[in-house]
Amino acid sequence: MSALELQSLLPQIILALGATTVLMLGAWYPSRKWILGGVVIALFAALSAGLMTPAVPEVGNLYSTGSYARFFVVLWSLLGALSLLLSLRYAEIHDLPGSEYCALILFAICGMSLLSAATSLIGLFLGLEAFTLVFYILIAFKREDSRGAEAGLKYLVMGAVATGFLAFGISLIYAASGSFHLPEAFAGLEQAGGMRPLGLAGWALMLVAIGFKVSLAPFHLWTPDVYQGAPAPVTGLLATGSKGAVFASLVPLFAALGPLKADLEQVLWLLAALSLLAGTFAALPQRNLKRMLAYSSVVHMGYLMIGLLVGGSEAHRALLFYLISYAFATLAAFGVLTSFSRVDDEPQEYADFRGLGYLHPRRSSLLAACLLSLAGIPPLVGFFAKFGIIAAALKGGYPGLAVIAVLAALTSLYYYLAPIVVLFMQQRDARQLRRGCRHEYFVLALCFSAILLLGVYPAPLLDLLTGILP
Amino acid sequence: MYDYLWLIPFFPLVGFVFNGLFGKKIRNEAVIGGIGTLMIFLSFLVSCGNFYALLQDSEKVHQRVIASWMSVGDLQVDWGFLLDPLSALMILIITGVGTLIHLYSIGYMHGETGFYRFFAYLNLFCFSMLMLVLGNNALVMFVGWEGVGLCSYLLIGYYFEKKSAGDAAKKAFVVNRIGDFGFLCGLLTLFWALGNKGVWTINFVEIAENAHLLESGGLIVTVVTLAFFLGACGKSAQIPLFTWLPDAMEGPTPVSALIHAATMVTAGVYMIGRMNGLFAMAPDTMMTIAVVGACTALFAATIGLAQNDIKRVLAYSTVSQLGYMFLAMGVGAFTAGIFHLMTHAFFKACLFLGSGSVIHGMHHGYHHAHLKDDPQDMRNMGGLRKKMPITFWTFLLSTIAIAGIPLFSGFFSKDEILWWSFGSNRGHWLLWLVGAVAAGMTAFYMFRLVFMTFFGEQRTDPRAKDHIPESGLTITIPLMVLAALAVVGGYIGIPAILGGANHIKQFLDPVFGKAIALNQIEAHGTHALEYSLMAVSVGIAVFGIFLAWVMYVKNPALPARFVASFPGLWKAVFNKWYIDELYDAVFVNNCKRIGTFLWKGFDVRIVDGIVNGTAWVVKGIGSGLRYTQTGFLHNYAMGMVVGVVVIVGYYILGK
Repeated sequence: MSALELQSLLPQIILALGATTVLMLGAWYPSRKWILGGVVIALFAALSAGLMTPAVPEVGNLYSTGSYARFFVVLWSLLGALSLLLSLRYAEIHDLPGSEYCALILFAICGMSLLSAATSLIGLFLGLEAFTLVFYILIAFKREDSRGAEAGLKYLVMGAVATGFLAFGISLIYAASGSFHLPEAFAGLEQAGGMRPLGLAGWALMLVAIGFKVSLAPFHLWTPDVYQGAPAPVTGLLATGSKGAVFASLVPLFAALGPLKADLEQVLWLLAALSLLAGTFAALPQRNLKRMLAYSSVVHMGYLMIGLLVGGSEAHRALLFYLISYAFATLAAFGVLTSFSRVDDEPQEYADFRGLGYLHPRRSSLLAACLLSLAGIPPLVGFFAKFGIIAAALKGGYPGLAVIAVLAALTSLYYYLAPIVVLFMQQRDARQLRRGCRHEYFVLALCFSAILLLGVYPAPLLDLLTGILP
Repeated sequence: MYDYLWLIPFFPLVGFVFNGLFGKKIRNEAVIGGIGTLMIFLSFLVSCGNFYALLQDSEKVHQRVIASWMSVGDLQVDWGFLLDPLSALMILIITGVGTLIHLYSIGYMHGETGFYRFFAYLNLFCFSMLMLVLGNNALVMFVGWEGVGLCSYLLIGYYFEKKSAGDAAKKAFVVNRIGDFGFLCGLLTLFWALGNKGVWTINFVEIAENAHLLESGGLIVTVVTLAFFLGACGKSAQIPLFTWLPDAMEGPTPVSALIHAATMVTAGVYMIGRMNGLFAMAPDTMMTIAVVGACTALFAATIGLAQNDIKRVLAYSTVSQLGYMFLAMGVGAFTAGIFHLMTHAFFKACLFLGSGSVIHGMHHGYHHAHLKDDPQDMRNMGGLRKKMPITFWTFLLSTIAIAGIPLFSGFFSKDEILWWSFGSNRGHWLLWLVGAVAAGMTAFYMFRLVFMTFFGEQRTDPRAKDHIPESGLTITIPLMVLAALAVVGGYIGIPAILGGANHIKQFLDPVFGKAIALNQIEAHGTHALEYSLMAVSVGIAVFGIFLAWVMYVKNPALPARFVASFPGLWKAVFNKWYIDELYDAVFVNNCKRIGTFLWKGFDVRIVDGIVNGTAWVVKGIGSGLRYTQTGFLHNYAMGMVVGVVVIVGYYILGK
């Protein structure tokens, strides 16, 4: 690896080195202030990714340094910085070790950034595993919390199985095509030969692993348990960044897929439809906000899958826009939960929220706004996002999926409105929850303005996405 | 200069954000009011610059797009501004009169608890109104259209602890919604109709350019313009949607002056002017507009004859004057309509602010004497001209202007409208007659107001009588400026027959000239006819004033005798011809009844039944799925393995 290549990978290096430094120094100077240091490092990485012009277009045949990859470095770094800010008070209350927590989140961002930039199967594997490993720890970070430990264990075991499938799938593709580098790997499979079924089986195994990571039905069963057990700010990052990074890596991959896509089409169709249906139905009877959000995320992944399946720059643009809108609304929803949480408990049952709208009007309204955006109510950004995906499905010739998507969106109103009704229209008997702190309000206000502004005025983001799409 | 067009709505928006966010903390009235006034004044300066640039420019239509809003299929919608003579004149009126009224409000609202709220809303209103007139497409206009409606609602309900204020705000909002529905119907029909001809646009310039694609006088144009006219009726308080405006007087007086006299209520007139190309193509709609306008002018004037609340008289007068503007639009006198809009903004703003000054003084007196009398009732006033000389003189000048006495601004604009309604090929002598009679009534009730308020014996409670001061400078300066404008504002439109150059007609010609020429709208008649019509209308006005003088100064017992001899008629007029009661009986109560039926009968039994049934089934499936969620790892792993087997099997066996 030459110096130029290292220089081109600067943002990721800043993240990795920064995380290591924080971890080491934290051993001597334990302090929760490290979390603020982590915010600075993440912002620094975002800045360097946004401003620098890379010397080489690709590093070591593993990672791209194009504008698409750098856009996602910026996005994940910002999301990471927001999660860190959110965690500051949370870590204090739950007595979490600051430097380790901070370093882990930075490692996770680094992994996501690498994954979104992957141009080879090895790069993809490394990026994916980098942040999955981190999440094994982060999910069970509250050691004395039995639910957290259980969630961590479940994620570990299931994740290990998925990793096994992923590694096996990659090796099969390598065996069939003779290359890890994505364009060549596809080219090898295009020629009809004896190795083709082997390559396709490899692809199938990869899809399974990916389905697990982003929780597509029927690989989504871990999701509600893990969402429920993990600390709220970690869940926020898990729900947005880790899933988003996988989709971000899949978009250029599918754009380069060529004729091979026809072979994947039916499976993708099925995965999308199943996720939409299973997620919707399972979310309906939920009375726990985190579990509801877990199932609803399965539905959102179904929407994203539609964008992936339809293909073409317009559908991919709609997918990325959806991803960003989903990320801000979800992060803010978990942010509200974080800001409510106290030493002994993290309110998440609907019963905890009864009439809370009168006790904590600002944060309750924000939570309602997030849910409404996720449900796709104009003028919030979720409306435009859903509109884009469904329009793309109709234009791309998938009317069946479009119908399912519309029905899922309609039904989703029921489970998104349920907590809002609990918050604002029921007798007030909720207990007073924790008062929010400055950092939390800052993050929440930022997410809210994103939800609102992008809804009213989506044009600049859409233009930007058009510019970076490969 | 045109590149700075966006600054015009931007400044009031800054004022709104600033006062809305920090006003509560600042609490210093000078800072809050100063910022609010400064922002709209800055807008005024930028507007003047743009106006001047446009005067010098030979190219009269300029568009500036600041950002793309959305592009859906073939439709491209921008956040864009349009500066042409029409919008240039409007922004001058809005920011100019707006600045004066902001300044006035500093004095008038002094000591109110919601001082910052008031200025924030007022700035927000100016922002919305400027978006409305500057928008280069119908959607931006609609944003402003809804925005001013919202601000009007908020400001009418400013004293929200008063039930009547809350009710009035609600009424204004609901009635306006009916109009908004019309606006949207018109917009969508137009969009669809032009789209069928291959032009997908809502840009005003493009609409004007492509209007010829539609059949002139055809069904579509008529429907579209009628729907837009319904929208205009709601916003500009025309029959049948005028009932909200008199109630809107529950808001503070500066609000009445700015929103319910000078600017917002003229939005309907502006909108017709903006789409004059379409309206000119629909003679049936034009006739409807003219008839509705003339009837409103007369009808509201009759109600104004008998009101005792000083602001209500002015409110009905506003409805009546708006009727004149619609009459003008309907007979094709677009320029005259906009001209009257401008002169009306001057003298009516002055009248409202003057009435505010009187109310302020009366309130002060009653407050001093610890009385709870109504400070707006003219029966308690009288003789105030010596106590409040500046208010009196400015009020008198504006009243002469609205009465249509020669050399004052109202004369020129009103006379132009009356002449067109007689001489235009879209007009009729009956329209002229109705307009002339309404003008006589206007002169009568306005001078009745002046005589009852400022002349004769002071009828105020003796305890409060000597404690009615003239208002302070922030109140009297706007009055003097507006009164001066009310006097001289008409000189930009002196008709050729009186030896003038009619500057405003030439100025607005780039906007209206094309449609007027294309549809051959013209007013014709001999000079002798024009002179004699003018003489008749002036004669009627003078007679109205004389009658008011006889009844309220010379012989104050006369009105009571008149009431005694026609008790039924007087009662009907006093009770506003029972229109509110009629609407309540016909629409409101029946709507409530239908609503109750839909709720209890249809909704609860049928719709809820279906919905609950569906929800029950769906929820059942959800609960069934719950059994997959055991919490046991091996079950989860099993699910995964099944998925793997199915997918891999599909590829190996299927391909």
